Amino acid sequence: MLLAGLSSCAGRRPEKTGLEGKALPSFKILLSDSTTYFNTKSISIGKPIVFFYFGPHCPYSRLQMEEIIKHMTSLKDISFYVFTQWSFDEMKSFYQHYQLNKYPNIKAGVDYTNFFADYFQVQGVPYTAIYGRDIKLHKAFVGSIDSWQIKEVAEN
Amino acid sequence: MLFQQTNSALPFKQWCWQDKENKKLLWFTALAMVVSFSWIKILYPFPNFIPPDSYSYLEAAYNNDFIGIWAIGYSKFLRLVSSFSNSDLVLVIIQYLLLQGSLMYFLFTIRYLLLPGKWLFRIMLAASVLNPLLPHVANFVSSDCLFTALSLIWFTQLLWIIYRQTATLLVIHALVILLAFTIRYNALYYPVISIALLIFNNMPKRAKRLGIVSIVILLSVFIGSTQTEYSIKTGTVQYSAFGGWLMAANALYGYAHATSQNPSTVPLRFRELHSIVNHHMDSIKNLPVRPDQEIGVYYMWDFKSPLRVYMESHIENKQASFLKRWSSMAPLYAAYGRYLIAKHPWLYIQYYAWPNFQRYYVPPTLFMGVYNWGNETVDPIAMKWFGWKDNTVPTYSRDKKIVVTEYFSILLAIINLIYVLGFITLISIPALYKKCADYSRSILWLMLTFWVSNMCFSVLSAPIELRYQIFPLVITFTFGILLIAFIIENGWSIATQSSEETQPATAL
Repeated sequence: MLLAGLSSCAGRRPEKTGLEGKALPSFKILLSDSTTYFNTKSISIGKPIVFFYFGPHCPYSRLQMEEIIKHMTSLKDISFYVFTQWSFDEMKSFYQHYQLNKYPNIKAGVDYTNFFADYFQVQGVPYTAIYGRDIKLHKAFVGSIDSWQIKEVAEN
Repeated sequence: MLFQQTNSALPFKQWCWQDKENKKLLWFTALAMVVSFSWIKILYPFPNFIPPDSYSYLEAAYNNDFIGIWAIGYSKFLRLVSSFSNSDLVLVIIQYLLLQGSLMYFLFTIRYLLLPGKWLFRIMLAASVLNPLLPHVANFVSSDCLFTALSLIWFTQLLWIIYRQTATLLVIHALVILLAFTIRYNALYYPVISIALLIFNNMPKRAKRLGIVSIVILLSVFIGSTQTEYSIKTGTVQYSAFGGWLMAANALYGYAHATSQNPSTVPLRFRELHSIVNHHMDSIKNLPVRPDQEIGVYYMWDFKSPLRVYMESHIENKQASFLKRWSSMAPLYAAYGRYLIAKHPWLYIQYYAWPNFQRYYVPPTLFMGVYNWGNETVDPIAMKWFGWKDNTVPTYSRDKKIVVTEYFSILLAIINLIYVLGFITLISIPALYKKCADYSRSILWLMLTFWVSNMCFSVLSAPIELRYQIFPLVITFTFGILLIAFIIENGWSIATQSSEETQPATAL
């Protein structure tokens, strides 16, 4: 039991995407203001990046969002791009529920071209892709992960 | 992955039609349905009948009754289908489509919410869709198919309620319970499970209220209307005359083995009935083969049953319809049945509940095992309803035995065992249970609640046979497979991790 308990401290194992070390791809997100189309190619080197792909009603996506918000002080130097493939309205209600407008390092929106799911061959949400300061993919995870794991992967 | 903390990325409807794997699975299902249905209709061109249930449903539909010997919902369904076509083939096709449609709803919900592995799900889907019991049950003129379909929808909606509660879902869920309630008395415990889930599930209070109020209002209106109709047609206020008869019939299997209780010691209103019962028990106790040797329909329907004898001797108006004569006895029989069970609880358990529990474990095929119960012909009401020119129902099967159904009695026992062992293993290994996601845990406990409720209700309500257990069979099979796959997959990794962690410790 102790061993099982210890093993859970090791954190979730990353997915093998085959994209590790590659630069972040270019795709567009319709942001929460419903008018701005944000292109990821405008992201510049210097800050770790997290793509958090979620389902608005998925209990684990919600847990993951809560985990990020709860530990935002330690994650403030990471830029989060929080998006979904669901409708704009569903995204907006998720955005409002978690009051994401309060966090300057979070951009939320809709992946209206379904690029992300195809690119990463996403089978389920929450899906978190973590890029380093060099905007190259470090690791990607399916399922919710702890904030310390996000920070550790982003900064290493 | 199974029970991992993930959900599918797209909304359910979009996911159903856009996911590439789903498209393949849906094409496979469509093909399997065509093959499966064609096979059954080549062997049995006419529907299968269960005497007297099927004819009673048809009579009630023909007369457009609001109450009947059996729950009235299926008769209303027959009328609804007949407004489009009186073809027996159309009826069976609609039943089959409803059954397979609800099965797809259940299986794809499982895939969406629990994300089982690709091949695991393919096996589950193929085994479920190609289950030969499904076309057989769809070929019945009986409520079994419709009830199984509605039960699958009901259970699937419970999974959705745990996941996400919308007003539309909650109201439709109440409607589905109402429909199931009108079709089979077996649905009596469905609202209890639904309301318990609404109370204990973590969800907004407004949604809880909406869900509970919708169920209570719809069922109250239906029960009230049924009681009023009974009062008008039979002069007794009750919800189910069938239930009253069943209570007494089940109790008599136990009392048949008791030392005869003097009628003067029973409450006044039961005395005459009790004398007839005692006389009957005296007359059968020395028979080499007792008619009540196996629990079944004897005390309920046989003309020599003391309940039938008492009914015939106590009808003032001999011209009254059978339903009226039969229903007017039910309140007394319900009370008498309860009295006998309270007086002889151990005998009731020994001679009714225990044998029925054994039937639950390995249910007899009965009507599913023999086409048209071995008869060459059907009652005139079937000819009249379907517009047939003669009353024979020929088949291309060599004999009337439906052999394939016999394997399922044993299979059901194995499936139940696998499910129970799987669940016990999961909860008894904390490391394994911890690996199971919260949402999946809720689903597993819901499944267990249903499984136990179904077992208790089935054992205590009526003699069990295979056709009553098709819905539990389908979902227990799915959960049994999910549990075993999860245990094998994660049990192995836990064992490997444990040995890896132990080795250095031992060295130290």
